[in-house]
Amino acid sequence: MSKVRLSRRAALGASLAAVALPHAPGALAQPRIGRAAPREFHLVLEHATMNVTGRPRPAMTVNRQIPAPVLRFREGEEVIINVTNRLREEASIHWHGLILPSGQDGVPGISDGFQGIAPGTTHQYRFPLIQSGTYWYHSHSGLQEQAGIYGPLVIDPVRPDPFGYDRDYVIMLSDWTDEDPRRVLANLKRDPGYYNYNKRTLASLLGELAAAPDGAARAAIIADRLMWGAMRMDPTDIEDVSGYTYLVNGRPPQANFTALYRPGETVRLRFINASAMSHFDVRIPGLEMTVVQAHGNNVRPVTVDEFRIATAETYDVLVRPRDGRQYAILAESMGRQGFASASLATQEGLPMLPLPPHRPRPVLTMADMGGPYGPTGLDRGTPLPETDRPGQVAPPMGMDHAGMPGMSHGAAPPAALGTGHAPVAAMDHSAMGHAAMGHAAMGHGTPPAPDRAAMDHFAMGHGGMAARDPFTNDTGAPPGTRVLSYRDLRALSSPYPARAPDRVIEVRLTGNMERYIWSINGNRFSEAQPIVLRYGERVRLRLINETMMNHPMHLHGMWMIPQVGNGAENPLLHVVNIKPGTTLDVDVEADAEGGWAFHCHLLYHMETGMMRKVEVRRPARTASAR
Amino acid sequence: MRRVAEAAMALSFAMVVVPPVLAGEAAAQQAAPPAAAAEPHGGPPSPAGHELFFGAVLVDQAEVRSNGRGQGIYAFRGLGSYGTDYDRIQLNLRAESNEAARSLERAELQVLYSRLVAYFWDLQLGVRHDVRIAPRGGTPGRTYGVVGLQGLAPGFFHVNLQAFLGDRGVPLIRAEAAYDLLITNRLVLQPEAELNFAMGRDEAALIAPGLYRMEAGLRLRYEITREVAPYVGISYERAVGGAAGLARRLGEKPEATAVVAGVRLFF
Amino acid sequence: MIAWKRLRLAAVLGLTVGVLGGGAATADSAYRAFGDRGRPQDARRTITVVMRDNSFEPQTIRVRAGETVRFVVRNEGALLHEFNLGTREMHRRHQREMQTMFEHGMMTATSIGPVPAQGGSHAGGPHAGGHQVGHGQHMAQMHHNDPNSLLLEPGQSGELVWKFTRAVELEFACNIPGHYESGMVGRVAFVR
Repeated sequence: MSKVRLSRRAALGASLAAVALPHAPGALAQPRIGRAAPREFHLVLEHATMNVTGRPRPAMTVNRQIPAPVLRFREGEEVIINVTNRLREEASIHWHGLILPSGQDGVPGISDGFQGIAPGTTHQYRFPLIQSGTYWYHSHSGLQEQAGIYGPLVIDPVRPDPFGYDRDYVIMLSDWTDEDPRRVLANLKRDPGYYNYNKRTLASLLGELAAAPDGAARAAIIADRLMWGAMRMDPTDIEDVSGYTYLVNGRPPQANFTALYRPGETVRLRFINASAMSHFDVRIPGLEMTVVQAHGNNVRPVTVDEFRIATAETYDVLVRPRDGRQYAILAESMGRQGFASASLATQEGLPMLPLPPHRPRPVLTMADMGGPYGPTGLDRGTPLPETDRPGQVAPPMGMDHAGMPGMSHGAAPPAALGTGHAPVAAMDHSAMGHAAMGHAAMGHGTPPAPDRAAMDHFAMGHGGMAARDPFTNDTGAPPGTRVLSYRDLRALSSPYPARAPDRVIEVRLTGNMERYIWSINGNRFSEAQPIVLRYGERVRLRLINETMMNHPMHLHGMWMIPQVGNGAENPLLHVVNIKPGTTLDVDVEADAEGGWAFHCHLLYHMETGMMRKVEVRRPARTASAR
Repeated sequence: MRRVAEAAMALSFAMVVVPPVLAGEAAAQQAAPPAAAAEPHGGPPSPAGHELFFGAVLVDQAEVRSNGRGQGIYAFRGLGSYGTDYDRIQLNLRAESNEAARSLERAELQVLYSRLVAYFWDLQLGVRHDVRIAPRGGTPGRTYGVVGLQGLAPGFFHVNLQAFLGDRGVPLIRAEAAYDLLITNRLVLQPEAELNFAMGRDEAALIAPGLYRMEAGLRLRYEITREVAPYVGISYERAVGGAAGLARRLGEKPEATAVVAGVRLFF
Repeated sequence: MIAWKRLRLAAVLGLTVGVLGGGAATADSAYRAFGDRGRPQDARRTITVVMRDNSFEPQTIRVRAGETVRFVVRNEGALLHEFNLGTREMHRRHQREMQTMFEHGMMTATSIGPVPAQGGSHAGGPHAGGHQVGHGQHMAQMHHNDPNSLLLEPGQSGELVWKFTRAVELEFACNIPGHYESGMVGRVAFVR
């Protein structure tokens, strides 16, 4: 029995030895009574030269590697991590998704008492691990994350996970640019379309017209062009930055990172999207994937063919290849600019499988143009009233499309424009949860009242336009493909009972696409007040995306519970992607005191202002009692 | 069983030790020397918390104009700006060489404070100085106060409206518009036009009431990169109305059409 | 208490999965393609298998063709689990049957046999209503004996002696809805 036990445990132990750099002597020097001494880890941030594309380029590394070493922790233990900054600039390390004291969270200027790690100094983090799962860590200073300061963080559970597997691999996706990240930002600032070489052109117009079946279709194409022009918006603006090489565990596709398997084994793949600016559509042609964890938390297993992983999300999937074939793990960037690719194979060193052709590049439609809704008068959570600063909220488009053929208020967009709306209410209910569940006897837990509000909210739409479904991911997959959506995620267990929120805080995601300004409620981080939460309250963040881009919103220190319609089984996530023109209600139990960052995890969006400080304050009486 | 365990162990090494792309170093296990733990120090505030400053230089026209006879004319039009999202300093510079003398014929410099006032629009305030080039020839030096509105009009038209009040007391208005027609994502046809109006007369500066000068151009550029885009095109300029007469009196033709070739630079 | 549980277990083990679906008659004897119930005295080796929510330990079992193995299976989880030897196709069929049994209330997430709806955390829900209990009893009367599987409630242990006659691609799996997908499936590796 114990020998049998060894096989997996030993494997985990070996991994620990291999990667986690435990510093045993130091740790043993000060044994703590009644508890195991915390294990100690060392990370060193340095400038280095990387060669990803054939050109040696400056980069930033942790322990001289990209990605940084896997930190493999155990649930329940306490760890000490010494981070030495040998960069020429201030730095920081943030433990993404971890529930820990604010002072250990590693966001300069926001985490309690933390002002960053000055060059040449070492900062000591120390915190207990009260969770398990797949997470990651990265710099939270400037653009260092893009330059290479990111790595996987895996916490093994005290009790085995509620699923079985023979081996597990970290699949860390990232985007590498040969450019200096500061240059990338400067380029975006002077021309937000700098990296977009897929704009609509005269050539593409002629192509579309030629392909159109009849005069009405041609008229619709022209009308659509005019409408976008009138709005001064670019429907091809899917990804802000191009020129990326997409990596798996630091390796470009040609280097073909290989995860080994033996036929019949179950392999756990821990997908981490550590990219700065990229969403990926992940698939393994020929294999289905069973999602067992989302953002480190166990979910009811759901089997899919594809899933979209927004920036900074993590998903753990099980795959079970039975033959000895080589499989390609494909992560195609949402803007179809490239693939991150790796292999599942029975041996190392095989050449990569040929990449498939790209799926069609998505183009925004009027449905993505949900906003601007403008403030609705709800609570902003700020101490003082807050108004939109000039230039951060797109002008109302009503005037613009009033004159457009077929576009008048109160009418659904014309079908010719390809927005293709089913009546949303009907769509939501049919899609809700029943598919891909396999637990017929386990009950669907009819969502309690709180969920109704959320459903109503996005079913209602704005200005008479049918609002867009915030969950469905259109990956361009062939019909019948099972694509994961937040709706499919059902928490296996939640520390929080379902209850109605104490208040609703409106969080409008705003910005100026023409100036590359990104903001929340019309205020950039540099000019914004913090959002203040009372310790113990449950708040509902009503996230309203008024822009035309996806925003993966990340809250530090506390779980976000998107109201996806699964009642008490709504998942617990650390990042919630808000699609263009959609609204999503996300509940937060304010159970972690202190200052926390809340931001869009697209690096350049955060850097240019789409970020807030969230302060959880204990009411004065309770604070003194403590 | 043990063999299975060992195999699993070996594989798990393969799995977690993610080889770095880094040349040379095999480095994963390089534990740093245990340095003294530093307490949080009082450093500068959060880097994301401050305003970001950015600059840009756009040389829209750096070209040779030729009408097929004689020397070509060199023309330059560009701007540079620096500042935050809201507050910027912008310099506008335009200059043209003299056909015969190969020296500057006209030069105009604007120094503006630019403030983002709406989603697509900057309000600009500043001064414009027209440089007197030759002591005898050309137009005299003038200084104006400037109020302007620069931005993007519906339809993706780049628009710049400026009002000038000169030291001679003659108010001027200039309206510029340009459009980037993307033939492909790198081949861009840019029509542009400029109209100049005056509320009074300034003969030395060749200004007469009403529309006194117009310019138009059509340039086809190829963006090798966003930074460098060579182009060819045609340009047309004309003194209108009373100003045409003033120009003739100086011996200048009131109208000029030229083939142009140049390079657009954007940094 | 234990005796009663055993009894009930026996009853359900004897439940004819096959009668629930037309194709099940083939599923019943399909195991003959790779083995059959072994005689305890032939077993030279005991393999202990621990079942958890939702995994096996070990995940791989090594056997020889012709060998008779005694499996001691212990359910250390909080849910009902199955140890079932079969091919992928057999498991797939069996999963559909199990699904049906769940839907008819013949078992719950934690126990075998018709049990009032308010059972375990996963057991509740609209489908475990009263009328299905009666339906389930009807089903439970059906009879059959699957020598290639063990169905164990939380905390229970069981034994299964199996003679592997032929080396084919085999898996041991738990076919309770959702568990196989969670990786509660292991590989039977034939060694020479």
